[in-house]
Amino acid sequence: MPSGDLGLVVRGLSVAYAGVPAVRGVDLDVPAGHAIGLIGPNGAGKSSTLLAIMGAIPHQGTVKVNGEDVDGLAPEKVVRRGISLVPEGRHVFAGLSVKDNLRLGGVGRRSQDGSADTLDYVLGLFPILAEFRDRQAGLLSGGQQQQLAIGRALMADPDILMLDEPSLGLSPTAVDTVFDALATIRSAGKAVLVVEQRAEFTVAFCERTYVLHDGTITLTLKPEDATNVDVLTKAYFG
Amino acid sequence: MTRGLWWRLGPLWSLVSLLLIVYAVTVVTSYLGESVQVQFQYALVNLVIVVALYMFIGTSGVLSFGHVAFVALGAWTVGLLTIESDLKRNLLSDMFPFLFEVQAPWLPAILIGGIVGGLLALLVAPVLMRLNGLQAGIATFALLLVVGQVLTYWSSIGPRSGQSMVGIPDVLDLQTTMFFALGAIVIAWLFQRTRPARLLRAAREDGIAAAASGINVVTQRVIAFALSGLIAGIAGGLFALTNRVVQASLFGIELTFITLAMLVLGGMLSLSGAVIGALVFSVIDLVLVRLQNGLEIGSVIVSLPQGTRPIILGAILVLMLIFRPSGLTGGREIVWPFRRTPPLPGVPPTNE
Repeated sequence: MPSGDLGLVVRGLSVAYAGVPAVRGVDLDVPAGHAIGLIGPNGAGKSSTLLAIMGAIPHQGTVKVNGEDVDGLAPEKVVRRGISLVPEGRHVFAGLSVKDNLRLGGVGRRSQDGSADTLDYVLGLFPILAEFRDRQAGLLSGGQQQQLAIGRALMADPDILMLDEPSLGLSPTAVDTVFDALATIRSAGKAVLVVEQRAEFTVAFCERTYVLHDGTITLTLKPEDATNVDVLTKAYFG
Repeated sequence: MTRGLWWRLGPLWSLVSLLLIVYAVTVVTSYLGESVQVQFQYALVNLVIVVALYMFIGTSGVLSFGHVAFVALGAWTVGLLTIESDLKRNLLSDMFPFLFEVQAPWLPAILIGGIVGGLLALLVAPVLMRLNGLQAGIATFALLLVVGQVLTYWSSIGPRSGQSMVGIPDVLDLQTTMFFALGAIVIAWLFQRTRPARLLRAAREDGIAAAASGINVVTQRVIAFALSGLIAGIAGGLFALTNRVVQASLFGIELTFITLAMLVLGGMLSLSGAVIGALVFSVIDLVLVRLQNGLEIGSVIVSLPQGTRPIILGAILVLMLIFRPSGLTGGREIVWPFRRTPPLPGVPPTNE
C-alpha cells in the first residue's frame, strides 16, 4: 500500500437530523503520523462528523481508512478496520475495573496477537492506569478517566485515533498529560483527529486544524496561526 | 500487587453462599408441613424463572416481559410428553395425531421443554434484540401475548380453547426441584463469567463506549436471550410437574409481574439479587398466605382478611422502589464477610 494512502480520508461527508443538515460536504485528510484538529462553536457539527466516520449515524459521502472504504459498516466493524473513537464525556465503563475497561478495548482488535504488547504500551503511556488497574473506573478522577478512555481506544491497536473533546472538564495539568500522550501517539506513526473547543491550544498542537462552522469547513489553520487572535476570532465568529 | 486467596475465591464464595442459602431455606421449609412444602416448591420454580430473567435482563439491561412465553412453552412440552397416550387421545382429541404417541420420561421431558423454550428465544431474538428500553419491553410483551393466544386457541397442539391439560404425573418432589434451582444458579453463575456476559455488562453500562470499543451488542444479546429462554423453558417444565395442570392462562401477566417483582426486589443487576429477591418475596408470600388462612400462635389465631396478600406484596414493592430502587442487594454479589479489603470500590479520587 502506498504510504500516501495511510490514514483517514473523508470526502463530501454530510449528515442530517430529521432533514435538518448538521454536516454539509466535509472533506478531511488525516495522514499517518499527523495530528489534525477540528474546531468550531457548539452545534457546528464536530461530534456528528466523528460519529458519521464511525458509522454510528446515517450519512452521505465516503470515508476511507488506510485506502479502504468503510461506508455502510457498523461501528464495531469500523473499529476492526483500524479506527478508534474516544467519545465525548469519556464514557468509561464506570462499574468495571480499569483492567477490565482496557481488556474490553481489545475486543475490536484486528488480531489478538500482540495484545499484551499493546497493554504494556498503554500502561507505559499512562502509568497511573497500572497503579490503579484494580480500581473501579468510576472512582477515577476526570483526568484519569480520560487517560483510561484513550488507553481503552488504543487497546484496539488503531491506526487512526479520534478524540471528541478530550480536554472537556479537565484541570490544566490533566489536559497537559492528555496532550503529551497524544504527541507520543502521533510520533509513533498513528493518525490523530482531535475535536476540541480550546482553539488556541488545538491549533498550536496540530499540524493542521480545520474550522467547522454550521456544518461546513470555513478555514484551515496552521500552528503559527495559534497566536493570531484575529484569525481565531474569525474562525469562531465568522 | 499480590492478591490474597479470598480475592480469587471471592466470586466462588458468592456462588457457594447462594447455594447454601437456597439449600438451608429448603431444609427449613421441609419441616413445616406438607402445604408449606408444596408452596415452597412453587417458590423454587419461580426462583428458576427469576434466575432466567436475571441472565438476560440483569446482564444486558434490556427489559423483557416475554420470558413467561418460554416458561409456557416448556410447561406445554412437558405436559404433552408426560401425559399418557390414552389419556391424551381422550382429553386432547383435536391434537395432531402424532402428538398422541410422543412420550418421554419426565427428566428428558424437562430438558426438551428447555430446548423448545430456548429455540423460540433464538427464533425471535434476531429481531427483538435490536430494540432497547420501552420498545424492547413492548415487543417482548407482544411475544407473550402471541404465545398465549396460540396456546389458548390452537387445539391441534393442546386442549380446546381455554381448557386445561390434566394427567401430568406426580413425580417431582421438593428436593428434586431444589436441585434444579441449584443447577440454574450454577449455570447463571458460570454464564456471568463468560465473554458474552462480560461484553453485555459493559454495553449495559455504556452503549456508546461499547460500540466505540468494537462490541457487537446484538450478537451477545442473542446468546444471552437464547440461554435464558432455555432456563425459562426448564422452569416451565418444573412448573408443569409441580402444578400437574397446565393451562395457557397460567402463563400471562400475573406470573410475568410476580417474577419481575422478585427480580426488582432483590436487585436486578446481580445473581445474588435474583436469588435473594425470589426467596424473600416467596417467604413473605408464604407467611401472608398462612395469615390469610388463620395462623395459630399459641392460643391466639392471627388472621388477615382475604385479598390482603396482593395488597401487602404490592406495597412492599412500591416502598422498595422508592427507598431502595437498586434492590435488597443493591445490585452487588455476596462477598466473603471477613475479607480485609473490600472488593472493587477503592478510595475516592484525589487528583481533582
